[in-house]
Amino acid sequence: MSEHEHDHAHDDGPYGADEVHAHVGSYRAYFAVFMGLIFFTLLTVGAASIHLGRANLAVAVIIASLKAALVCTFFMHLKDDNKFNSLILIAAITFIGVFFALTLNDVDYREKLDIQSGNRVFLQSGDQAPGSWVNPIKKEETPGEAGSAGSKVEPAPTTTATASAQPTEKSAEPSMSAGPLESAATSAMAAPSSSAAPAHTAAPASAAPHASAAPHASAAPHAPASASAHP
Amino acid sequence: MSEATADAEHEHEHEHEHEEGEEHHGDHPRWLQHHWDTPVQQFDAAKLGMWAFLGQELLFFSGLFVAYAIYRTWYGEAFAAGSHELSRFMGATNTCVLLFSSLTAALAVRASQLGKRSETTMWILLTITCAFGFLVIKYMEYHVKFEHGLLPGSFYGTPRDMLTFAPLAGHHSVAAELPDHTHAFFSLYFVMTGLHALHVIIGIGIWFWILRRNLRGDFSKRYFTPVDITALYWHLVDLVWIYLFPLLYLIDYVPPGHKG
Repeated sequence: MSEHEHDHAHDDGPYGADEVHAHVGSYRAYFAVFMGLIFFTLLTVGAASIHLGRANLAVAVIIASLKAALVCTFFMHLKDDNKFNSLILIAAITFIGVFFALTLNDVDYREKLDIQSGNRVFLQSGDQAPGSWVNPIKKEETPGEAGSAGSKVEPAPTTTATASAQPTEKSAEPSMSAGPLESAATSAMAAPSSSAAPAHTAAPASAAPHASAAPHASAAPHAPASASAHP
Repeated sequence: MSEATADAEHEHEHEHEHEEGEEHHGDHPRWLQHHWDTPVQQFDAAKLGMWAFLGQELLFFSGLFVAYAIYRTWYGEAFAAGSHELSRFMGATNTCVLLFSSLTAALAVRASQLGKRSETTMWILLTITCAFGFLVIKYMEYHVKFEHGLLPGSFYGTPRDMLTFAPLAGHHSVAAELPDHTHAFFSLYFVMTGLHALHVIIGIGIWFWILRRNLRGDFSKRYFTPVDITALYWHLVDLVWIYLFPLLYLIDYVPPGHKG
């Protein structure tokens, strides 16, 4: 049971060095890893019953990651494996990190850009940063039509950055229950209509005929900003 | 095959020469695919491919985890309330069952690396048993949720008798007492654990296939790649559960006595 089989299976075939030389782990090592995993499981259950506020989540994720590291390193043989396989895992984790970071950053900082710190994203134009906050005054003035909201309130040449941001809020409900996720999704769909609407309706700044022809299809706030500065 | 050639395999011969008794097919062993030059090339390629697949699996699951993170930041209270409705004991038991099956999977690989066919069979059978045990416990948990109307999405709050048209004595809707948006937690709970359970079921199927091949004598000291790769998949299923357990079952857990 506990024989120490740490040997590599040496050249036991006609292919010599090109045979598969698996590293055979010992029973003891595998059982030790298993006991470690059970220990961490009990630890995470115990830690969950201690009130640490928001740190509870961090503790749970850290313990889970330790367990995952044990499984990857020993059970999945990454320790003795081709390092390229580890690279694939690390790459996957990296992109998961990007996925989390960008999404949560967006979710966390919606609303805060405008209301709390008064941040202005577009320094030249002084336009407010796009976010899920809707200026109630602007909203009253433009009941149905999208796109003309920003231009009516501010006399300064309005960028379609706000115009393309506004329909997002129009289509989605202003309350949080609508979910910022949905408004993000609809912004892509709302953008084309915003490029069509201001051209035909009242929007003074973007009424220039070429505004509708301008590449408004993209929802990116920067590109339209320069486009509508022309008229 | 392993018994017959065990001695012969110790001869150090140069490449492309094979001992008698080895099953041949062209000038290479049957298990070595035609398009590979050497066993190690085939082995490395297979593992690389499997790891690429596992990376994809992680990214695939990460979408649900991101959704979880977003909804938990929005509806933290509902998530804690929903989490309290789950059985912490059953979740922890299932974690241990799955961890143990990961151990037996790793030991199955070890046995097949050493060419011990019957030992490999034993570990694979244990792994499959644990997988079924996991599913049984999961079923019991789901059953309780269905009884309480803690169902995903628009079904949330539907009493059991509405689903089955059977009278249910002493029914009270647990769902009605929980905070708003708790249905978001249960939607994610069912999707995440359901998708995980689907992986477990697929894993059971693959393990049965590997078991059959092992009994048929496909594997040896020199060729155990399918066992190795199946175990990798199984460990991934374990990995996902390692994260699911604390995130779903252990949100700010309050012992039953101190509830309030």
